[in-house]
Amino acid sequence: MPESSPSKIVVDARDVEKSFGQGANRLHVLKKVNLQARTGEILMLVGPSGCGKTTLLSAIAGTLKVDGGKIEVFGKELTKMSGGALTKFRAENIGFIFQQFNLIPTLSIAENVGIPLLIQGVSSGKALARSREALDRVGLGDRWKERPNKLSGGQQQRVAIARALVHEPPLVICDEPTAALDSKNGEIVLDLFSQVARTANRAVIIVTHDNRIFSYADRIARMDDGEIVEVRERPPGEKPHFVHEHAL
Amino acid sequence: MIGLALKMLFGDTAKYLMLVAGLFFATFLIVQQASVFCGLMRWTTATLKNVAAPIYVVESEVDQVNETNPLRDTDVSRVRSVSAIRWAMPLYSGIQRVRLDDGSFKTIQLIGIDGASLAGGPGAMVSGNLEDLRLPNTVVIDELATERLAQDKAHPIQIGDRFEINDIEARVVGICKAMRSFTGGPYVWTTYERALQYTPPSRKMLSAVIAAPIEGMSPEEAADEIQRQTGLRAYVNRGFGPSSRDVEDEKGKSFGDFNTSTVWWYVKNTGIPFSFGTTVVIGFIVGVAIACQTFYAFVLDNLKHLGALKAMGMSNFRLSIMLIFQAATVGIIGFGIGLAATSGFAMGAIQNQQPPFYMPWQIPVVAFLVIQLICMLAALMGIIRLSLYEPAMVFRA
Amino acid sequence: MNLFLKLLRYGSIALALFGFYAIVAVSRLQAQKETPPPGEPPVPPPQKPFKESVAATGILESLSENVAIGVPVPGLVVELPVKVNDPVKAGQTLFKLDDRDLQAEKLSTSAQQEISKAQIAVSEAQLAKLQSQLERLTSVTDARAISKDDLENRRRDVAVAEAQLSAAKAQLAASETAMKRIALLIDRLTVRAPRDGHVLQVNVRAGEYAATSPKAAAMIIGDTDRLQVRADVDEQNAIRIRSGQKAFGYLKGDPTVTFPLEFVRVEPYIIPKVSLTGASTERVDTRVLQVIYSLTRPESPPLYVGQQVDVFIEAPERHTKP
Repeated sequence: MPESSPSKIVVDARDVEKSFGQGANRLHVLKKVNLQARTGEILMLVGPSGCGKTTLLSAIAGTLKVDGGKIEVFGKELTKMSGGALTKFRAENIGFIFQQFNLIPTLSIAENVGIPLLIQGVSSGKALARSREALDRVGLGDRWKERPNKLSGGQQQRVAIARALVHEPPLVICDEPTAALDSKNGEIVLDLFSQVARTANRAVIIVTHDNRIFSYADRIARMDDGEIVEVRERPPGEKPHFVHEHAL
Repeated sequence: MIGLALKMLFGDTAKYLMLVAGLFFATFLIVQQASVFCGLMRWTTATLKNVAAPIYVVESEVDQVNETNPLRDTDVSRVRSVSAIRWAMPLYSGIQRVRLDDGSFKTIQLIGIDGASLAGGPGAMVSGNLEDLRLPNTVVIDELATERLAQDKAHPIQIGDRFEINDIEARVVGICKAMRSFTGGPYVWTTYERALQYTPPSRKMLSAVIAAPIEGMSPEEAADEIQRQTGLRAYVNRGFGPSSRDVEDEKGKSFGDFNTSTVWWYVKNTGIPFSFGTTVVIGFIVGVAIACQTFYAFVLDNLKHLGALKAMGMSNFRLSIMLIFQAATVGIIGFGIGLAATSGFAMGAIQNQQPPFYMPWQIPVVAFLVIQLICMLAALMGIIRLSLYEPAMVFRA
Repeated sequence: MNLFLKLLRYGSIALALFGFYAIVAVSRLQAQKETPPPGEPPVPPPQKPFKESVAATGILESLSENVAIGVPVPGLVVELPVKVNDPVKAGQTLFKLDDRDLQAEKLSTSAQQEISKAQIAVSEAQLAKLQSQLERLTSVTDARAISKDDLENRRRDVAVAEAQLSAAKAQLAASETAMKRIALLIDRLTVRAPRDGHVLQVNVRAGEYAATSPKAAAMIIGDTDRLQVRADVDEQNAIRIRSGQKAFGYLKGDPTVTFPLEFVRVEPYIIPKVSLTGASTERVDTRVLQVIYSLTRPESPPLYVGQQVDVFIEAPERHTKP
């Protein structure tokens, strides 16, 4: 866990270009996008569907090759790394939280949480112990034997967060973490994220269009049509809080 | 990692059972049919097993033991005159008819052996004395004959019972163990001279000369020497398999081992191998079809999770290992269950000597490799599908 | 995971493990059911006495061959003074055939002889009578007392009587010869041993009809003190046979009995193989060279004429190019 001072830039994407398809069907998804993320902060990528925010997230996570530009994460240039090196890089540095949680239904939640450790080559016994600790932190330590489908959506997402954090990655990437959650669970999850970013000094990048959670973001990058149209810092003094629907 | 793979596999019970069932079916078809084929082919060499002399000398154009062109009586002496031979004895082998008391006929495989040395006699007696064959009008029968030649099941033939071979009396003085013949007739031993009396006369009656090499000489060398000295065809009786004496010439392949030659004759001249071969191939195809399709469906089902693993930094290599391990596991389990079913069949077949069953160790080994090949094919399809799956796709739920 | 699914999972694994175990058991059972490979023949076949030898089947005969006694004419056997195994001297009666027809003929011939003798007496008396009459006439000196014709007639009568006497004597001689002939014929019906030896086989009994060409000879005699072996060598091996080659014989059925053989001769004429088993089904299908060896009858075990022997003759192998 890199112990670094606040506001250290760990993700630096410059002039990132990406397009899908060929010829007339060619779709220019990312147009010279620049984005930075810092440790200790939650960065939210927001925007309408198809604006390219997920593509940008994929590129930053090292799961997608971009056509142009440069992405540096922890000083390493992802755009110049080979596939194998990228895979290894992802395993060591990035925690993933998916919209559908993507927990493997046939494994217990502790086993699911342990997967990133297994990928790193930790023995299964140690992995289990550490994943139980991680589950403790998300408040599910006593249910480690159960299978994901026995849990509610929010609990599953907490399992997913435990999985993303179990190997203590410096960068956590979340794709629509609250899309499948009700407000109560959403709040619990976002509180967890804030805690992760602040106390462990990690960079958390969240792609979302869930405006209930915007206030948790230290910075919000708004995207539209492949470009970042606005980067807004959270006004000083504003407390992060969950905007409940009835309050809107 | 391995545990992860196994849990994923066993978690999907329906697909797991489907995979195992397909591979079980393929294994059973392949092993059982191949073994029945081997058993049937082995029956064709039953005479060679029951009269287990190291060397068989036959007429020069004879390819198989069940249909021999007879030799002249003095050929025994000619073979005996070869210095590489320790002993050589006459052998009569032919299918004869037995008349039972109720007038019905049964065919038997009549074996005539040298009355003095009793060379070529049965390997294991159940009751009675082989030496009693020297008494007049006596025969030694195998266990099958005790039922086959009996009037009814309740009264099997015993020592002292009589029947008629071509209207000449035969008295049973011994019961022995013997392998079943291809034609289904039980084996009946008697002396060579008496066998000639039981047999309708023809000009030449000596089916074969059985011989053994002198000390320190291999049957192969001795057989070569017999062929050189007498011009007769000498085969060794080692058991099925390639031999140093196999020759390939313009007339086709000829074998130095009589078992191989006999089996090859049946393979060449009958439709038996084609029939069994078809079933084995069907077993293979069924296995491939079910296993590949189910496994592919399994991979597709888990693609989302596998993609997540890929995104989380699991390399393609490790994912492939997982898939291969899963495929190999169902392969082993399906194969094992197939073996269990085959064993059930085999136990009955071996106890009853019917239907034919003989499983050389090569059959399960080759079947295992074939099943694993099927599994690897299935795994390969999954691996290809997975490698086409970009980890970024996991974000597009 | 409910119990049923667990059962399926572990059950399938257990079944698979059982399958592996079972197939090994099947393999074991199969190997156990395998008819054991017969080892050596129950009675060890004869050991070859020579490195390179020609094998032949032979039959024991008495030395100088067995004599199958023939019958001069077919007839009933009336007397059989010898038994099997009796030693016989040359000229000793072996058996007699029924000679009653000849004896009957002898009776009538001897009657004929008496008649001939009486005839001679009659003729002699007649001649004496005529001679005395002639003497009386010739003693009459008066020529007128007897006619010349009368005297001539008397002389002729004497000549006739003399001729009649010779005829009667010839008759007697003829009947005596007939007697001798019958005696010879009767003697012929007594079959005698042509030479010293033992009676090996008797195939006729008193009262049986002995034919001239029977399937088996009426009696076989031979010398059993010295035996000989007639070995049949396949004509294809004949080329390897030389006179004087050493040989060993083995009694068929007991390979422990072995005896050295002494070369006698090679039969110069190759003949069709004669059946040794004697079964009517056995056929002549090859020609053989016969080689004769002699042997001294061993003290023990007893050898019998007519026994089959396996003969190994020391003869170098033909070394043909493969």
